[in-house]
Amino acid sequence: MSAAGDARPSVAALKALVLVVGALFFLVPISTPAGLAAAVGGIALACYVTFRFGARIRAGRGALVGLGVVLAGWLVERLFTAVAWPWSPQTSLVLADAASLGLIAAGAVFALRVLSRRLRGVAAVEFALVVAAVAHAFAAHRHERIHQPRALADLAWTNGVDPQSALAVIGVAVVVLAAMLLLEVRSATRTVAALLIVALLGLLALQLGSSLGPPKKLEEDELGLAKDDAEEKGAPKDGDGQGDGTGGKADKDGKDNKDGKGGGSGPPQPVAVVLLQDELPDSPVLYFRQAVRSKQVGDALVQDTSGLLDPDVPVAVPAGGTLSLPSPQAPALHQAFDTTMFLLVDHAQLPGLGHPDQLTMLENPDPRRFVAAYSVRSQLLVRPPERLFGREASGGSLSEAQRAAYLALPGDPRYRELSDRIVRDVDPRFVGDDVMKAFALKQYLEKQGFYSLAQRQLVGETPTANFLFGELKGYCVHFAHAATFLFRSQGIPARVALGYAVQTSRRGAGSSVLIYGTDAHAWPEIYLEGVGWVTFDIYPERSDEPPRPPMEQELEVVYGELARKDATGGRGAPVTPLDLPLGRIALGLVAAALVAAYAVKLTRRLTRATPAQVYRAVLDRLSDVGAGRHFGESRERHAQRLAPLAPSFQPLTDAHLRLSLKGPEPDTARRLEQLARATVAELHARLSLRQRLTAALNPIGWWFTR
Amino acid sequence: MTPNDADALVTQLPTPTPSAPAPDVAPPAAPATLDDVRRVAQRLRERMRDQVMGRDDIIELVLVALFADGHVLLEDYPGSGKTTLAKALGHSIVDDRRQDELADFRRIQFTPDLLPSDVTGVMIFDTVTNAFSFRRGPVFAYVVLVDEINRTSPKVQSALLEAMAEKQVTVDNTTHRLDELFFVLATQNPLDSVGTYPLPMAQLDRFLFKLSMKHIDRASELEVLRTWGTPRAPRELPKVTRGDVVTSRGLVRQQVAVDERVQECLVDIARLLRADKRVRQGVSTRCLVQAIPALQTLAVLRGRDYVSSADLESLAPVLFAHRLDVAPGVQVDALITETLRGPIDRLSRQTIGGA
Repeated sequence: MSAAGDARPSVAALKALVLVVGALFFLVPISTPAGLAAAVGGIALACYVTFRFGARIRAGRGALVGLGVVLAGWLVERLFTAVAWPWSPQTSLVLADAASLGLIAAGAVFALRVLSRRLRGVAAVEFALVVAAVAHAFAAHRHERIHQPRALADLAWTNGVDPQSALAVIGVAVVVLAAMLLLEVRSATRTVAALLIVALLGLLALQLGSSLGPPKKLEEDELGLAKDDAEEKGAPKDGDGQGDGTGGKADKDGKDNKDGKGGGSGPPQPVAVVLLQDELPDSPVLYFRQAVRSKQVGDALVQDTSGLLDPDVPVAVPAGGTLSLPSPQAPALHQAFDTTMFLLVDHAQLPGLGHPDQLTMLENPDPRRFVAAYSVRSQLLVRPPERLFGREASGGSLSEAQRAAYLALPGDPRYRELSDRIVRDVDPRFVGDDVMKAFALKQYLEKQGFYSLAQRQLVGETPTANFLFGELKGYCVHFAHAATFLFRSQGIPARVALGYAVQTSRRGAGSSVLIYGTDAHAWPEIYLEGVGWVTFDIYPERSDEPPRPPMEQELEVVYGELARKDATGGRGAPVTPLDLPLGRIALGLVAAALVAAYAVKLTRRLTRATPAQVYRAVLDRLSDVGAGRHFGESRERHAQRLAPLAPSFQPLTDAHLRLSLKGPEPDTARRLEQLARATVAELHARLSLRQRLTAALNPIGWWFTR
Repeated sequence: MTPNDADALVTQLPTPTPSAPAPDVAPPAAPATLDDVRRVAQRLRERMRDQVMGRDDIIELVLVALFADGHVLLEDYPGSGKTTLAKALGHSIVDDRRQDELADFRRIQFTPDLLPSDVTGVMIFDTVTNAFSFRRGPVFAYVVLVDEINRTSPKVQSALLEAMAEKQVTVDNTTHRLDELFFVLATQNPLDSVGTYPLPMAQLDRFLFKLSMKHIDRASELEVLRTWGTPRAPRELPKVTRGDVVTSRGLVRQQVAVDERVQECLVDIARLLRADKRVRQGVSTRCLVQAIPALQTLAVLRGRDYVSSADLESLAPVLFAHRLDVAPGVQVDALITETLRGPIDRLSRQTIGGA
């Protein structure tokens, strides 16, 4: 954003356009159409005023006036919103938006433009602001949130274009525009700075381009599920990138499924899309089980790798086809339920709704978006757990080894003491009822427990015991382990299930469910005779966690439609299914433009058939270092201006003009050639190495030769 | 009484009497090349610079007007050296054609009671011959200084107008030709407008240039104070002859190239000025016709034999400013400078083959 070229309407218009685009990027998500129009108008006005009268405006006063206008905009906004007006509140809001945004945009741009005419530093700030505004819009698009920025994404969807590509194209366009503006500068130093910035922007564009490829296999700490479960559980893995400093075995087992700590920055990240094929069961929470931990090792539970336990849980991803699992679930009490899962993030084990008994790998509908696709047939308990009273939890249908493993406890006698004490208070009519016992234990934990993700001091050899016999303050993993051990101490086979728990209330009306990383959860399961494994989650009544922010259902719909192979994300019928890698095409075009620019540069440098071309070659060299002729400057004046840089340029210009305006004479061409060589030699001698290098690299210097 | 005697008696205007006899002024031969023209101009320039300090730009433009066969209106505050400049020029040209009996230099002070005949001349009755004879007015000279041109009535101004445009005066239905080298330097004071008759646009159009003489710089002003009144070292700079000037005019006209693209540029500038909304009356075609020799002369003075965009840039303000009637509040010079840029840029681009 140099001030040098401001005198020309084309450059001024280009700059105004860049500012408008930057402002639009920033304002579209937060403003009304009226406000947008007003802002664009304000920017255009400010640009026009500075273009037209900029030379007469003093920088300091201009900046003050601009700030004054910004302040006025703010005051107007307060005025419109704070005072009751005869018209409707909505009109008030629209008026406030339009007036304030128009004034603020006009004032800010005016101040910036006026200052940047005088101070290079401010010109850089101005440029940085535009880049930041655009980058801000792109930033909304991070973390797989493909429906942001909404207006743009919707437009792209409805035209059958992937918004990621569209954003990349816009990014590249901004880069090219910025490059053109930056290279149109008059001093060599600024050219260097400009080239650097352009290079950085180019890197940014490349980054955007690469993000168009298949999504990276995320290995987020938050998503312990996505990473840890396939690995061998035997070896302790302290400090493997997941440890938050708690260390110990409980860390390994407990920490990696901390239900969505929601910490970290940014919005929660979607990890999987679920398409529901049947009517949703009437349940407040949908449990997607991914793995189970049954084998007691010390004070913790780990995944059993011997094959003895949990044959109903898929351990490895099937290579293809259908994987059927032996299901212990009783068909009478269960209903088969089909879902289709699309993983956005790589998972070592495949999560499935309820108790999956059949997995079928499907063709990935959009490999750029999804990691894997598979359909799951699940068994869902149709009877609420309250109606299971009287069922036995003897584990009689299990093998002896399995039964022993599902009942294995740590050596600590306090588990049994505590559970005995809790069960003692059960209504005498239900003494001996396993389900009642389980409910009593569950109720104890829910009443006494305190849910907190901030709990960090569960360290040492026996974190579960520390939790259970200590403050009872922890998160789902702690509750699940504690509950499991309590169940087991009462002779109820139990295990810990890991996966995602999705609130059905969050869901929109659509038949798709989006699972976020923050939905990760751990819960206990108990084994009842004649029923199978029953989800037995603990809901602590007290919690210090803030309520979750409401999820946007929009993204759910978009992903759902994508999974259904609707390339528009459900936004409308695409005109033509355009599946071009637009980002790459744009990058290719930029590269081609660059090559073409260098080709033109070289051709013009080497073509020396006529004296005019010889002179033009010298002009090109001057343009490369930003010493080109200004608009409206006569050739003589230009030569005079450059006399300190290249003294021979003046006689060269005279010779050229004489030849052009008077007519050819026998000796002129040769003399012109000599003078041209002398000028180039002088340039070479007077320019620093750095300047010569930038001049050689400048691809579009010739564009500004006039 | 011969006409000559009558002239000497009646006009009562100072006759040029150089303090020292004029040296052998004529160059060995009449000017034949542009270099000779440049030499003639250099002599005139030297003589004027000797008398008027710190006015090099004005001197150059006066020379351009002289060689381009135009007239100059000098506009400035009293005591800024207008008259001195005109006198210096008038006394630098010597008559090499005695037979036409014309003075080198005449000065007319325009006053409200002046009559046209005081400018052009008058028929008087000669009692000896019993016949009317024409007594020439002060316009019958090579260089005429018209002081305070806006102080006289329009009819006198019109009389001068014919003389300037046609190089002839008509008295009693008889037309008398003026010399080919008839150069008017008129002055006017821009501030004292009480009792004046401002020149109308049509009359301003007869002047090739209207020059505003800015105050001279400090050093020059000090130099003026230092040398004022003290007798000058008898310094005799060579003069030029009438023939030199007239021949030079022809040479410039013939030998300096004016490219078609330069003419296009000039016309484009004029058309842009006429089309501008801030301009109420644009420049005339006559102005453009007169501009060509002026451009050629400036090119020669700057050592070239072709007209270039730099000449256009330099002359456009003085050529066009007084011929434009602009809306109130518009700065004419800024308007012209702004209008120039497009055509000049186009011309410059054309020299490297379009683009």
